[in-house]
Order: sequence, then C-alpha cells, then structure tokens
Amino acid sequence: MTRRRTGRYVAQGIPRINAEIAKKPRFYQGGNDMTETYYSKEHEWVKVNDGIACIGITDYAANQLGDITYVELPRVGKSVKQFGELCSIESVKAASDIFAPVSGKVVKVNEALEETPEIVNESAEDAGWIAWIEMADMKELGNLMNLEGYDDYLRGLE
Amino acid sequence: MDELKSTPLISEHESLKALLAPFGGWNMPIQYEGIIAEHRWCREKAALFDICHMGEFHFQGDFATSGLEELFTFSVTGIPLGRSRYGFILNERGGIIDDLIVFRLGENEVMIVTNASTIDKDRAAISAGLKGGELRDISAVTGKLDLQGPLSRDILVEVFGPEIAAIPYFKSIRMHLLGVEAIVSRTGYTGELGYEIFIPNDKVVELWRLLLADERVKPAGLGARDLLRLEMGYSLYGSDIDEETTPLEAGLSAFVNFDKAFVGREALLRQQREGLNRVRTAFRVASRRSPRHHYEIWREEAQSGFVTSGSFSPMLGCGIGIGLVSPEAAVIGAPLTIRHGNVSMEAFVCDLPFYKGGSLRS
Repeated sequence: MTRRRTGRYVAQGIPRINAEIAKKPRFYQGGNDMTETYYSKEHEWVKVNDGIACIGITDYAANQLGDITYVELPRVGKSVKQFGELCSIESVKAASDIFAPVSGKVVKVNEALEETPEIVNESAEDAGWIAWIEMADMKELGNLMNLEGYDDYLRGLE
Repeated sequence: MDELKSTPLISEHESLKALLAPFGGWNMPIQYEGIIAEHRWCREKAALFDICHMGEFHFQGDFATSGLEELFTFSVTGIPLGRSRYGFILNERGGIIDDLIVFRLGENEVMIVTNASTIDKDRAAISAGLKGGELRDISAVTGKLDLQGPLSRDILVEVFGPEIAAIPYFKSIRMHLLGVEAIVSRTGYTGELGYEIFIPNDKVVELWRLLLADERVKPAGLGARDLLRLEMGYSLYGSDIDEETTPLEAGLSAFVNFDKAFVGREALLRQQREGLNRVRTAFRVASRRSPRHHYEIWREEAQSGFVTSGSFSPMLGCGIGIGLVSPEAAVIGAPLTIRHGNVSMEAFVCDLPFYKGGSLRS
C-alpha cells in the first residue's frame, strides 16, 4: 500500500509523521492538513479540502463489521443527498449500507478497494477512504459531529 | 425464550476476548482474532473449536429388536466396530429431524452425536421409536473439542501418544486422556484432517488449555467453522436442511440406504418416483459479493428458489453459496442471478466441494 500524496486532496494517503501519530490517525493535523474531521451517526467520516469531501467509514464501524470482503463503490458522477444511501459494504458477518455524510456529486472512488477491501479493516480512516464528493452545501458540515462529539456518541452506544 | 446456556469454557472465551453470540440456545464464541484469520489458521495449521454445545446420546441394547435400527437412514448394524457413520433421523414425510453421526462403540453400544438446537426433538424421536434397550442423554456431562487442520495429527500424537496416528477417517478410539476415558474420532466439519474429542465436561478446561499451549494451535469460533464447512458444501441444520427438506432434495441421498427399513422411507420412495420439484444447487458468484440465506436464485428471468447458505470464500476469492432450486437451476455451468432487494449478482452452478485442497483424507 503506497502512502504518497498525489494531488491536492489530503486524505489520499496521509503521510505518517511519527509512530505516535501513526497509532492515532484521527488526530493527525500536521502539514497542510488543517482540516477537521467530521463524523456522522451512521459512522462515516469526512475531511474537506477545497469543497471536496473525502469520506469513509470509521474505525469503530470497521471493527463492528469484522472482516470486510467487498466494497460496492459508488459510480463516479452519482449525485447523493446528505444521509442518503451512497453504496454498500459487506463483511463475513453482514451486508451494510454506507450513507453519504454530505450532499453532492461523487468525483472519485478508491479503486484499490475493489481487489483489496481488507484495507478498510487495516486503515478505515486513511488508506481505506471510499469516495470523494464534490460538496453541494458546506453548511451541511454543521449537521455532523467533531471528533470529541463522535467519541461521546460512541460512549453513549456502549 | 429460555435462558442461554454456556459451555464449561465460557470464562476461557471471555479471557480470550471472544465475540460471543447466541447459537442454538447457547452463548457461543463466534470469533476471537477474526473469522478469516481463524479460517486460514485451520486450513494451514490447527484450530481448536469449543463444540460442547452439541448433543450426545448413549444407547445400549439390541439394535434390531429395540427399534434403534429403524430410526436411521443408514444401517447401524452394518457399522464396523470403532467406525462411525453420518446420516439422518427423518419424520414420516421424509423431512430431516436431524443430521447426525452414530459411533459404533461396541457390539450393542452406540453414541449418537446430534446438533445442539435439536437435542430435545432428537430425544423425543429416538425415545418414541425405541421398544427396548437403554437410552441416556449424556449431552450435559459430555464435552467436545474439535482440533482441525493439517497439523492436528502431529500435535495430538505428541500430546497423547502414537495410537492417534493410526486412526483412519471416520474411525474413533476410546483412550485415556487426562486420567479419564475419552473418545477420539477422526471426523470434523472443516474439510481438513482433524479430530473430535469427547471427554467428560469437568476435564474440558484442562484439555482446552493443554492443546492451546502448543503454539501451532489457535482457537477458532463458529464464524470460521461456518465458512470452513460451506467451502466443503457440508449442510448446516436449520439453514440448508430442516423438517421440510428431504435428503433427496438436499443432495444427500448418498447417506440414505433404501435396502433397509427406516422412518420416512415410504415418503422418500414416493418422492423418487414422482420426481423432485426442487433440488440442491451449488454456485459461485462472479464477484466478491456474498450471497446470504434467503436471497433469491433466478434462472432466465424466473425465480428458481432460494439461497440456503452463502458467504465470501477466502480460498476461492469469490462469493459461494448453496440453495434449493427447481432442477434446471442445478445443472453444472448454468448461469444464475442471485437477487436481494436492489442487489443483483451473477453466478454459475458448480460442483462440490467448492474447495478441493483440504487435508481431510491425508
């Protein structure tokens, strides 16, 4: 798995700075990546750069699913509504829907997941990103949680 | 709903941080490290399974005059001493009350090993058919550990001695383990070389720890067990077979001996005469998608039946499944479509087992 920065969007292989940060990819705020990560109640994460949202499922969701065996990537060009169905993901245990955490148009998908969906288990919040969505409305980020809010939300689920 | 039962190993599973879930009325380990990792370990090394939930009955008496013989679709009298045989108890309609293994322990002595969720109805069906002999339900005092995988023989020989090496497939021996009498049987549900060990419940924790102390052995849960059996095309009671399914429909006629009397024989003969409306099919999906229980199976714009078991196969790298369909959807090579809601997957009929590289008979 390569972790090269290609293009202007940060979430495509965020470079690791040191071992401590590598253990907590969520907390990474170095380099040009000044963007905050947002979280949905359906366990998707979003990082935004220049109006493009990079989205994926959270480490928590990947752990809950167990061994991921298939990711149905959305079609590039697909228009999605916030919290509407984006695509689906399958594990040995179950098939689940992934919901779009923001509205907009899918402009890129993580094709590496077609052959190696287990990347999502290994690195759900980094190399296991799922799609880039060109955002229709930046205000929608207000409907999502920040890291602190999401951690509180997870504690509430326990 | 009755309270969930636990095996003697429940605190071992908890300390291994297993994911526990209800299965057949029991609180069972589904996975430890991860289903695919455990599946691979079983295919390559040796995996240890807690199977204490399964049922065991002991019978002593004359097989013919007691009525025992007529309970099963195979000949009990015909099982050589020390051997075991797989087959069924059927209802009058030919539906499967349970699939089980009978161990011929002695001239007039057998052990019947059943599924966990079916213990009560097995006891009822067996008792109803018996006119003599002595039947004891020993499920509550009998523990069962399965050690399965290509290294399982080497490991058991080192731990328990060379007599293990001489056990052929579907044979068992009685031997002393940990100071008590145990039965070690060369059977399993994985397609790998492997053993099922029956030992009194109060020795199960000691045996579990002893076997896990070998670094070639790792625990595996029911999640991996289900994947392993599906890759072999073995039927799972409650999913692939039940009281509404006959062995002929389920592709299991090899385990029915029509040359003897048994409950359900007339119904099976009638079905054979009239032809089967539905049969078992096995198929591979053209992608990594998993077919699942109850997904629809379509053949040329018409629904042919349902998936009864399905999953992603780590060994084949694609989805696999078995199902009950009208006969034209069971022709090897035939293209099928598996449907569920707006999910649709292309598949084609294949032969069994799906995975042909197992060490089962090595």
